[in-house]
Amino acid sequence: MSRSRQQTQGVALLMAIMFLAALFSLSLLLLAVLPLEMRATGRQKMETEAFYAAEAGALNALAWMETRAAKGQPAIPSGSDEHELTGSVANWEWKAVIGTVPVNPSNPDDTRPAYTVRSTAFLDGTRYRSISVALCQESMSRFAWFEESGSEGLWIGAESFRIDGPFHTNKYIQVNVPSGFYGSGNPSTFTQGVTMAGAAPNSPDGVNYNCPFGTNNPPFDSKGRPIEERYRKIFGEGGSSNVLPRVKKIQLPSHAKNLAAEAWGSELPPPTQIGVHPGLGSSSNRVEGGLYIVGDVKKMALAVSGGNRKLTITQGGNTIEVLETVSGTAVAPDGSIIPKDSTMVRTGDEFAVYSGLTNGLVYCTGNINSLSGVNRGKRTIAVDVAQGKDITITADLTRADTSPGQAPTGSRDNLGLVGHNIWIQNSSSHTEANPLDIYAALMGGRRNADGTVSGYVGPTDVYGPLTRVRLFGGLMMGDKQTWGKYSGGRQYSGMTLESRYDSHLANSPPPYFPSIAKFRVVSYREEHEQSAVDW
Amino acid sequence: MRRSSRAGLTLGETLVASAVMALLGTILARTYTLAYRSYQMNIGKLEVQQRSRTALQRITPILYAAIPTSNSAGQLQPAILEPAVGPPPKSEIRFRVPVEPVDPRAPVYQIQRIWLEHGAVRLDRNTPSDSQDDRVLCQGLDALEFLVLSDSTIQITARARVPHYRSGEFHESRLQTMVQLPFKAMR
Repeated sequence: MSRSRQQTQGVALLMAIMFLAALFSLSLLLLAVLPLEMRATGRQKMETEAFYAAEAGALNALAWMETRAAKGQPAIPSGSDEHELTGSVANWEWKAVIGTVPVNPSNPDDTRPAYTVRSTAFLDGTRYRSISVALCQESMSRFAWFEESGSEGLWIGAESFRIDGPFHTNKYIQVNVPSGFYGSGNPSTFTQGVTMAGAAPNSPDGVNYNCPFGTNNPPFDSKGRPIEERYRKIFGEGGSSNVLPRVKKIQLPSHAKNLAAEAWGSELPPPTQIGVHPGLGSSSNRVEGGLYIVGDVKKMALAVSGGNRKLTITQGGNTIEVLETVSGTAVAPDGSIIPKDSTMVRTGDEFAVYSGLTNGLVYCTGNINSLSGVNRGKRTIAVDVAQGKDITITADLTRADTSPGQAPTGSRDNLGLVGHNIWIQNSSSHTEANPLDIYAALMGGRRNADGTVSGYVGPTDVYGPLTRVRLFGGLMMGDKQTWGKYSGGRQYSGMTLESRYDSHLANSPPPYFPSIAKFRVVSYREEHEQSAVDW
Repeated sequence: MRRSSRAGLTLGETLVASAVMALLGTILARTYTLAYRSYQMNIGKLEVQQRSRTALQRITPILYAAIPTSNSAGQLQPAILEPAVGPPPKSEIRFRVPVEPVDPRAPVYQIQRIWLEHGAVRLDRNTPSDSQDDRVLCQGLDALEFLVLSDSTIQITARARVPHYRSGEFHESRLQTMVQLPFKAMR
């Protein structure tokens, strides 16, 4: 018995060892596989978290810049080229560095503020992922029609208005849709997006169609469901998606101090002596800014002379001529040659020639009581908005690169006007057949210290002769007032407008034309897989 | 007696012991084979998962760079050119990206294309007739599908297959991800 028992014990031991070995090898195999999967999953989770942390930094920086810009401040504190923001998301930390992009020397006319944001995600001090974003601040000149704040929602006649570019109001619009409009062959009232910071009460799309002097003819059914065919008739191809209520407010600037500084070209105090001062800045013979004019201007005429651009300014009894040799040389009053890319300022028989061209900015501390002519080169003409100064257009304001009556095909001669009011002189000679041509982005209005808004673009006299205006550009206003008087449903005085949007003003605005608190992201790039996309 | 006790096991005992040992051996061999097959299967699964995952990881950040632009009339152009929004999904996507280095005031854009060809995910500058600029992002995929759900949302499905260990069947991995383009458009 004892011998047999010993033999059985031996087999059991062998079996146990063999089973253990088998189980051990099985567990070893599993252990070899599991960490691979765990590492892969962990790495993916980490990369996703890192991406979101880096993205949070980029979006935070963008929001920070927009908030500053909405307050009228530069997007990053002035005097610095870089600004750093930090924050955290769960265990992750992000660092976003905002940098300014200097004006491209090969394209000095485009002065829009531009920035880069580089956001990096860190975990325990180790950098994981980075996002690089390039931004350009939008110009006010991007709008076909902008109205900051009317006393009530702006009335728009669906049949009589045609706005062929971006439209924004800080209130809401009221659209009068006459009966039969939806079945008519009329073009749509709007062709691009309509954005409104406000919304009409009890309206599903924020627009009031309940016009007291028209028919309540909305583009939606009794349950508020959009009838897209009708929406396309009013708001263009995008239909109901083309009208957006309750978007962020866009404010007009309260002053034009930055324009004054850029025109003078220096941080030094600007001159106070009445006259035309080239923006020499810290230089004595090189133009570094634009033109700084002290006092009211009786007349300002834009012209082209031998392909070069010329500005004739009448102040009191003085006539000052500013010639910029943008195209080629010119002859000075004494017979000498003015080299190309120079600026000559002449008053009577006296003249001075400076090297360099102006930056295109003309700033006047007073009113410009008469403005007309042919513009050459990108230019912004501004007056002291904070002091309530105005610009009055008295005759055609056209551009050298476009035949009058034609739509611009480029941005070379883009013009912008900035004033508290932009007045258009009534003239009975400007009829439907012979309209007054204006090629410019017109901005009239300001935000006052008490939060109210004033200033607009309109006729000098709403009771004056009915004047037909043909605008190729955009209209930016504080608070639009009536443009004329009506009798029997027909306008008999003031001005009527035929407006054609010039999209070149959006992508290549006049120099230093006021910006809005919106930034267009032109590049968004993760630097993690950089080598995969670089050619 | 002592000699007799050293003589060993009886025939019956030996046969029983041999049978038990043979049974145990078979079980052990079977267990080992199963374990080895399981290991190979997991390696195969990992391989296909890794291929799908790599494809999605490489494609996603490239698509993040897709950007809407505005045309000369100021109208917004979508970031994704093809396929159009909605089904059916396509195995090729074309999208707009800025040309580096970017001048924020005057950005220049180009169209890029990602597609699947002979199991390789490729990226180029939308030049179907020119293979010189092709970049291979990853290989070993069996199918790749892009379904554009909205102007800024793309669903990507990647499928990889590898032969099963000795069985002639395939391991298959089908991974799907949703790419939400960062908000860049403005109105």
